[in-house]
Amino acid sequence: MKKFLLLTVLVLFCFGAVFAQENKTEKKGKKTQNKEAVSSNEGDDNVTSLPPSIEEDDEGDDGVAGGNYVPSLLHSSKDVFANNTSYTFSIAYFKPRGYDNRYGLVCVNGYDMSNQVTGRATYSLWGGLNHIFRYPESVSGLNEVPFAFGDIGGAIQYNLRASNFRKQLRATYSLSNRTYTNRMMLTYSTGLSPKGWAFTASISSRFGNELAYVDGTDYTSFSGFVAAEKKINSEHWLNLSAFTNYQQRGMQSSSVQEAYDLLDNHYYNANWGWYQGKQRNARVRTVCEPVIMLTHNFTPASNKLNIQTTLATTFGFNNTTSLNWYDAQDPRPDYYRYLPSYQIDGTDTSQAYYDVLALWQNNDQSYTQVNWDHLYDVNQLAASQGKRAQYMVENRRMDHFQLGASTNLSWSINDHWKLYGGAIVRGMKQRNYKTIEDMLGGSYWLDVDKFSEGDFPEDANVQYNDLQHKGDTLHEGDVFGYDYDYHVYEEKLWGLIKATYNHWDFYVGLQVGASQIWRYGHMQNGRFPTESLGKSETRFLTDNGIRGGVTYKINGRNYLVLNGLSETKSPNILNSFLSPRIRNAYVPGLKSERIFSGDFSYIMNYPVIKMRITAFATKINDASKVISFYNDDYASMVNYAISGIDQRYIGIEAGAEIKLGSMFSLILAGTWGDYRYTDRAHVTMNAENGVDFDGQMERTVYWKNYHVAGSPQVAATGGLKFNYNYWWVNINCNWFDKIYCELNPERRTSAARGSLDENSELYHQIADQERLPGQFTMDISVSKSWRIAHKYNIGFNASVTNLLNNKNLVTTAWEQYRFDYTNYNVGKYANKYYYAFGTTFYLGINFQM
Amino acid sequence: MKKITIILILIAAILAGCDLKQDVAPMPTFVGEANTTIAELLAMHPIGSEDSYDSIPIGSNIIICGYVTTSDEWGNNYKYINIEDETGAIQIKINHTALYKKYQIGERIYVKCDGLVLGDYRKLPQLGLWANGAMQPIPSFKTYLYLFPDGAPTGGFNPIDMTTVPAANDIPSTMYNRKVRLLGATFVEGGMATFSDPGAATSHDIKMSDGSTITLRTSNYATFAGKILPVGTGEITGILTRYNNYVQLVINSPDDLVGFTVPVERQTIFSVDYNNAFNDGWFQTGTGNDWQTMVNNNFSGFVVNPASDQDKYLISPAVDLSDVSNPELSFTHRAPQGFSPNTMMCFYTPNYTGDMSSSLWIPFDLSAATGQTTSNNFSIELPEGAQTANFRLMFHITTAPSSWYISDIKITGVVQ
Repeated sequence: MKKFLLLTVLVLFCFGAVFAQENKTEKKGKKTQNKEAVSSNEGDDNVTSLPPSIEEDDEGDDGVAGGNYVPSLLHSSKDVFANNTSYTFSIAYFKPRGYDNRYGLVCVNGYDMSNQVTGRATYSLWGGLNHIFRYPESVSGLNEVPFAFGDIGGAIQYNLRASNFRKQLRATYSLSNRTYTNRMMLTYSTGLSPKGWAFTASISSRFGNELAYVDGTDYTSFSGFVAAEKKINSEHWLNLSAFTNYQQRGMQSSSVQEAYDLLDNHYYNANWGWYQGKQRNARVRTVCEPVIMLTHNFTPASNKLNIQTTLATTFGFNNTTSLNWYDAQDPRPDYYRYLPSYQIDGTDTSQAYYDVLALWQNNDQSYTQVNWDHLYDVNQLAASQGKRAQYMVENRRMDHFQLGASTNLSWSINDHWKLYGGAIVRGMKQRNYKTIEDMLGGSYWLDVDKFSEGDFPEDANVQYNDLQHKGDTLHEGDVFGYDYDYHVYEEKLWGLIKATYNHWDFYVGLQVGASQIWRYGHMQNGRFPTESLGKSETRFLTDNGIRGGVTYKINGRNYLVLNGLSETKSPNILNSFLSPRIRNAYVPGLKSERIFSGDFSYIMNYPVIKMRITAFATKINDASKVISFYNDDYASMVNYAISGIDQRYIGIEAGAEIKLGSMFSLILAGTWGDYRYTDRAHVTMNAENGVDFDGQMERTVYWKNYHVAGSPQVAATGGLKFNYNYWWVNINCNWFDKIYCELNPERRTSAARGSLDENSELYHQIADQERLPGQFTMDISVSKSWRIAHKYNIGFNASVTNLLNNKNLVTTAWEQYRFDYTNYNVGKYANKYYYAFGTTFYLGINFQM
Repeated sequence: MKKITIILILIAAILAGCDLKQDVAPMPTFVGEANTTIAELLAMHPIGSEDSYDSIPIGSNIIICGYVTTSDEWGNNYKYINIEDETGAIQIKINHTALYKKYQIGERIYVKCDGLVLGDYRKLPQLGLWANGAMQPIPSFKTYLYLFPDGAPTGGFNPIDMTTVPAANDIPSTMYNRKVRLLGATFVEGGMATFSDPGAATSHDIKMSDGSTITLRTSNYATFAGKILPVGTGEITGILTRYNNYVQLVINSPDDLVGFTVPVERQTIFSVDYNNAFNDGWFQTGTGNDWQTMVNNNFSGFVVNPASDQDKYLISPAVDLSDVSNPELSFTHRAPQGFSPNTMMCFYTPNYTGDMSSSLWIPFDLSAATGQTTSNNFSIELPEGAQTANFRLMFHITTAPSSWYISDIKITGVVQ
C-alpha cells in the first residue's frame, strides 16, 4: 500500500512537471475547455463558484496575465481534494487529516456556530434545509480564512442573507433507504424587490423508516427557515434569519462482533424491542434548537470595506432516552452476560451455552432485542407488592441558551494589502439533568446511586443523589440523578493582514481570546455534599493564536503554498470537571491545548488538469478528556480524567482532476496519514460511589506511539466523471485503510499490565491496538436536468453508494472501557463496532422556477 | 520543479517508513520502603485461645513487604494470598477470586497496614479489614489502598525444609503461613483416596520418615481434588498452616509433589454425545415407541415412553475394549414405579455378530433401581470376557407405565 501511494505521488508529480513544461505551448487551446469545466460544477453541492477575478484572468492570458503579475489563489473556492473526497469518503467516517470535528470552524453570517459545550458545530441544527445551506464558502486545511481566525481543520461559512437567494420557487422530493425514507423540501425566495426587501422561506420534512437500513430507527424531522432582509440604503443592509430543525429518531447501538456474527447482521440494533406489536426503541433522541440571527452589513460605496455584524441566539433542547434499572438484570440484550461466550467456563461449554447459542442463532427477539414485556412484568409485580420500580426509561436532557455577537471586517487597504479582522463574544448556559420518561408500569422511583448503596453502612447519606430530596418518591416527569448547569463564556479578537505581490503572497494573523467556565449544581450529592451544590470556582482559560503563510506563484498555473499556525485552545467544558454530574471539582492541571500545525502544498491549476498535493504536520499537546465507565475493580462508575494527551498528525493528501476530452474527467485523490499519541498521558480517577482512593487515583497511560483512532488514516479514490448535455455521471472506486480501534486507556496502565510478561500472549491481547482490515467500496451517481419553456428547471438525481454491498467496512471501533481485572479476559468486554451501510440509494427529483 | 518533486517524495517516503514501537506500561512499582518485618508485625498480636484481633491504628505507618507464595489458579486457595519475608509470613484476606492474575507467585508486595486488622483464625495469623463486628476480607476495590505490587514475579525465598513436624504449639508463629518443603513424606492413603472428597474440603494424613504427621488440607473446589493421592515417599512443598492444634499443609497444585509414584489414571473409553447419538452408531430395533435423545438444561440422555406393545432394543456402537484393563460401565437412569427387572433390562455382548438375535447377550442386574422415582447410579466392573474389540451395550424395554430415562452412559478403564 505504501509503495502504491508513493507511486501515485510520483505519477502525479510527473504530470505536474509535464504540464509545467507544456504551459505556454497549449495555452490557447484551453479556453473553451475551461469554460465547460466551470459550467459543469453548477450541480455540485459542495463548491462555491469561482471568483470573477480568476475567470477574467483565464480569459486574458491563461494565467500569466498582466506582465509580471501572477494571480493569487483563492482558497475559499474549489479545492480539488476536498471536492472529490468530502462525500466519497464520508461512508468511512473519514475526517480530513484525522482531526476531531471541534478543530473545524463552521460560521453562519460570520458567527461561529460551534456549540460551546461540545466545541463542535452541529449540522443537525439545519438538517433538511439543503436548499438553504447549499453553497458554503469553504477553506480547506491551514489556508487563510477571510471570515475568522480559523482553525487547523479548515473553515466553512454559510451566507444566509435573504438577498443571497435569487427569486425562485424550488421543490424537491427524495427517496432513500438510509436513515429515513422520504425527504420533501420547498423553498421560495422573492429576490431583492425594488423597494429593497428580500424574503426567503424554506420548509422541509424527513420521515419514514420503511426502507431504513437499521431496524428500530424511526425518523421524523421537520425543519424551517425564514429570512428577511432590508436594504436600508446603498451602504447598509439589515437581515433577520431564523431556522430550526425538530428531529426525533431512534438511535442505533454499536455492538460486539459476537452478536453481529450470531445474527449474521452487521446492523443489529440492540436498542429496540417489540412492544404492543411495534418496534420500540429505548434510546430516542429528540432535538430542537432554533437559531435566530440579526445581521447588519455595511459596505461603503468605495467597495473596499465590508463589515458584517451578527447578533445571534440559539436555545432549545437535546434529549436522549435510555433504560435505567435498579437491583435487576441488565435489560440490554447484548449485555455480555447474555452472550454465548459468557456461558463458557474455561474449556467447558455448559448446556446454558447451547441454550443461549440457539436463542441468538434463531434470533429469538424476546431475547436478542429489548424485552419490554418482561420489564413491565417485573415492574407491575413490584408495584403490586408496594415496592419501587426496577426498570424505567430515563430522559437525559440538555437545555441550552446561547447569546452572542460577532463582527467581521475586510478592508482592501490598497492594491497590495488587505486587512481582515473581527471579534466574537458568546455566552452559553446548558442545563444537564435527567427526568423519568416512562415508569414502565412501576409505581415509583427512589433517587439513590446503586453503586454506593451498601458500600458505606457508616454513612447512609452517601447513596443519595440529592440530599435535599432524599426521601422523595419520584414519578414520571420528576428530575433525578443529576441536575447541573454548564456556563461557558468566550471573547475573541482576531486580525489577519495579507499582502499580494507579483510572485509572492503572504499573510500573518493573530488571535487573542479567553474563556470562562463554571458549573452550577442544583443537587447536593451525598458522595460530595460540600462540593456539589451551587457554583463552582470560575476557571479562566486562554485562546490565543498566531498564523502565517506564504505563497510563491511560480506562474499562473503553479503555486507553492506554505502555512503555519500556533494556537492555544481551551478544553471544552465536558472535559474540564472530574465528575461533572455530581461535583464541582476541576480536572487537576486543567489548561488549554497547545497546537502547532503546518502544511506545504504544490498546486497546479490548468484547464486540463487541476492538482494539489500537500504534506501536513500537526502537533496537539495537553489535550484533556473525561470518560466514564463501570470499573470492576472499584465496583463503581468511575470518571477517568485524562490530561496531557499529546498527539501528532502527519501525512500527505493529494487530489487531481484530469480532463479527458470534452466529456470525461479522471479523478484521483487520496491521503496517507499517520496519527499517533506522542507521549504518555496522566489520569486522575474518581469513583462516583465515593470510594476514597487516598492518593492512589493517579495513573499514567502508556500509549505513546499508539494510533489516534476515529478516521481511516489511508483513503483513496479513483473515479470518472461524465458530463454531456446536462447529464452528469460519476463513478468512484474507493479504498480505506489504517482504521484503528479507539483505545481504552486503562488497558495501557501499569495496573492493567500487573506483572504480565511483556512478551506473553495475554499481554499483547490486552495492550495491542486492533487494526481493522482495509475495505473497498464503489459509488455511482447520475443526474440530469431539463430546461422547459425557458422558465422551468426539472431535474433528477440518483446515487448508489457502496454499489458492491461491502458490509465489512468498520466506521467506528472502540475498546470497551470496562476491563476484566478478575480474569484478564479481553474478550469478556469485547470491542464494539459500527459498520458502514451496504448498498444504499438516494433518488431525488426537483423542480425550480 | 524537480527539486520540489524530490523533496515531497522524500517527505512521503519518510512518513511511509515510520514504524514506531508502541509504548509498554511498566510493571507496577511501589515508591517507598518497608519499615516493619513480618515477624515484627506478628509480634503485635498475641495468639490467644480464641479468635482475636488487633487493629493497626491509622497513622502508625506500618509498611511490610513480602513475596507471594500462594496461587488460587488451581482452586485450592480461596480469597487470600500469603506473603513472606526473611522473618515470617502472613495471610492477607481479599474478597476476590482469581487473585493469581494480579498477585503472582514470586511477586513482591508492599502492604500499608494502617487501618487493617491483624488477627488469627483458629490461631492462624491473618490480615484483613474490620467490618460488621468481625475481620473481613479486604474488598477488591479497596486493595489499592493497602496492597502495592512491585516488579516482576521473580523473587521469593526457598522453602524451609522439614524432616519432622513438631506439635502445633511447638512451632513458632513466624513459621506459620511460610512455604515449607516436607522431606521424606508419605501419604497414608496414597493410591487409595483422592485429594478431596467431592462434597467438602478433605484432610489426609502425611507421615514423615520419623513418624510425625501433618495433615494435607485440600479444597473440594481444587482442580485436582479428584486425583488420587500418589504413593510412595517424596517431597511436598506447601504452606504451613494450623487449625487450632492441628498442623496442616496446603499446596497450590499437584506440581508441588515431587518424587512420588503417581497411580495410573482411569480414562473414559466410551461416552455418548446425546446431540448426535443416532449418527454415532446407536440404533434400535423391535416394536413400540422409539428411543429418543433429550438434551436440555436438566437432562441429557436417552428416553423412551413405552407403548402397550412395547418391545424395543437400543444398541450401542461397537466399543473396542481389547486394550483396556479394569473396564467399568456406569450410567444414570430413572425408572419409576411400575418397572420390573423384566421390563427394564440392560445387556452386553462381547462379540456382536451384526444381527441382534444371533449375538450373545449377557444381562446386568438392574433390579435395585426398579420402582425408584429418583435417579440411580449404576456402575459395574465389566468381566474379563467383555474386554473385546467388538463390545456392545443394549437396553431393552417392554411394556411399562412410564418413561425410562438413561444418561451419563460411560465406560472407563486403564488403557494398556
